[in-house]
Amino acid sequence: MQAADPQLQALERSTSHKRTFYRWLLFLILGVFGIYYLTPMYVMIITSLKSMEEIRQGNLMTLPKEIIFDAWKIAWSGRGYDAGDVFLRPFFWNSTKMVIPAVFLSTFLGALNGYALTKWRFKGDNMVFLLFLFGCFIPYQAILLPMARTLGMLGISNSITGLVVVHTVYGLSFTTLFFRNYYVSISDEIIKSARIDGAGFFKIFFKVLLPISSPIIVVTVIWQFTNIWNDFLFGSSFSFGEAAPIQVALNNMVLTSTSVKQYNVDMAAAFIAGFPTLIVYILAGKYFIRGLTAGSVKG
Amino acid sequence: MATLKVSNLSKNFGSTQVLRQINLEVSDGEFLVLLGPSGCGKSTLLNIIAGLETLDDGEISIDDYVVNKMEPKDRNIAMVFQSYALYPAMTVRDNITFGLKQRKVSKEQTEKSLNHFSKMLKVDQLLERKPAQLSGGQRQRVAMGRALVRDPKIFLFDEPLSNLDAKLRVDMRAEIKKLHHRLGTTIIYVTHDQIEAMTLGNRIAVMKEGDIVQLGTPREVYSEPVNRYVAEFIGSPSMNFIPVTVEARSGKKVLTLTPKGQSSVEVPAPNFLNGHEGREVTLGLRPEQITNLPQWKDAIDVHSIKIEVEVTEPTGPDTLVFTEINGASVISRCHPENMPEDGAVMSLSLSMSNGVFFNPDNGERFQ
Repeated sequence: MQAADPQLQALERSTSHKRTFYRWLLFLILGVFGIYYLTPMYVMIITSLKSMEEIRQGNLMTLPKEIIFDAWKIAWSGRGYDAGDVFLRPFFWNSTKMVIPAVFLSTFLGALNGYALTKWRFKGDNMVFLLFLFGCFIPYQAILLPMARTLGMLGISNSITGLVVVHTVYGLSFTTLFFRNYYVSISDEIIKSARIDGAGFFKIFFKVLLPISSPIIVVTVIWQFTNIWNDFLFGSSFSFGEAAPIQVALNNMVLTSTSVKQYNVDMAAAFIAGFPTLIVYILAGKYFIRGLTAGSVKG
Repeated sequence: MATLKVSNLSKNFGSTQVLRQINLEVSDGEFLVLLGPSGCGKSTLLNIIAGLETLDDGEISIDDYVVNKMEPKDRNIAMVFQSYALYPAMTVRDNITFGLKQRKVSKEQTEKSLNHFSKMLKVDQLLERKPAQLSGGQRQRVAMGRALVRDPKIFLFDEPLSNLDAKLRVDMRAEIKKLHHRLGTTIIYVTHDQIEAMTLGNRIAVMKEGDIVQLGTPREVYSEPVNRYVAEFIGSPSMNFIPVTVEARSGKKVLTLTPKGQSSVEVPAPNFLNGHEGREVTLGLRPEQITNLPQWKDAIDVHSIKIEVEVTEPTGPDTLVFTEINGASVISRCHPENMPEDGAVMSLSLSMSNGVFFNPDNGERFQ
């Protein structure tokens, strides 16, 4: 082999330098944005671990001199005296009692809707789907009053049951959309085959379709869980006092304290209120991405 | 064991008529193929027979019993689909026995049928696998097992081989035929592949735009097509269509064939063209009827013709020679040895006894 052309060597060197430079630039930019996004969480966590004294004296960004969990204890189970003591524990369970049935019901009904709309076509089915889609775009504020009337007539206003109903109804548009788009990509021949084999509407749904729906179930559950857990508008409009979900309680806790602002307790409480959605996303996040794209490519 | 009768069946999708007054009788143990291009209504007809689609007019009876309003599961039919349509979440075993479980067949009976048919279809080693872990051919076998195990009166196949690769398709084709011989069940088979239709069917129904154009044995649709559409659809390469004029020459009717750049040949016209003197008709000749293969040597009505070779296509067993006669491009099937160069002149024999004639106006055959 001949010695390489010096010009080519120079070109190769400069290309490799350029590549290294761009790589570092890329990581630098990614790093800056990463820090930018994580800073609020960092401030929340360190503030919640400081004493009020330290918060007053120190800087927002400095690490605590001594790690104290008192603020977390107060946020979760209160100070131990009766009057005016708001803490999250009972409301956390309120939210749990609301979110589990609401997520389950809206997901299940959405799956059933999606199945019927794609595999048991009927006259006007596209119109029905369009109306469902329309539900996705109705601003929640617009239905507050009629919904309050309805809940009142049903006798379930200011109750967890009422909130479950509201969230199930308003989740249906989205869950139906998710499942309909997923089932559209599944071959109709499978359903035909099951019909000839003698299975009926529900048998096909439970035995044939649901077992292959896990990607879209995960997507729907994450979506519904996050929305319902984080909801403040419905919670604050249709419930108060002891029946309130955690987001409403958090608001009351932070805004209604009469004495000095307890920043450490507020931060801990906010973190507790956001914790379940964080866990759900971390556990099922990779299925979320997979499920979102699953319907788009066949096979 | 069953017969099927379809009478005056019509179906519309909105304002488009997809099936027009279909009449069809399938006898016990017969293998009937519905053949046609996509969009001709053949799959819709099959779905209606299965009960998966409703019909707008007409009647379907199985064993002389009208089943129009019966659910698919009660018609005692089984169907094999193009996409196999296996249940993705179930094992092969559960896939095959799903139908039996719905019908509350006893455990022993289920197990017995499963063993019998999984062995017959060579899927007995795969029973615990999921469909995703199977090859295309294996999936198709499982799909057939699922149909067979129920011992239905009629089997419906909807393009079952279209998703397989070429070699596997030929193998499975032979297996379906063997299966039919062995079980002797009534089969209705939908395909757009004319070779599948020719090789498998006892009878073929050639369909076009919602009509059955011709219903006959493979030999009939091949050599006696009722019109140009059937002639064109069946056979590969397709039949040659040569425009000729019927001429009266000293008391006889003759046709003149003029290969490009060569001298004309006059051949006698068949009697049924009497009365069409001076008129242009379309002569249909299969590629094997214009050949240098020795088979025509002693046949009657064979004429020698010189043609110019435009291009040749060796297929292995024989070579296709492309040329032009009366301005129409013509393919001839020749012996693969001693092929002349492109542009050379070669001598072929042309057998008129199997030639067919079509009316160029409406495509109907003269006979």
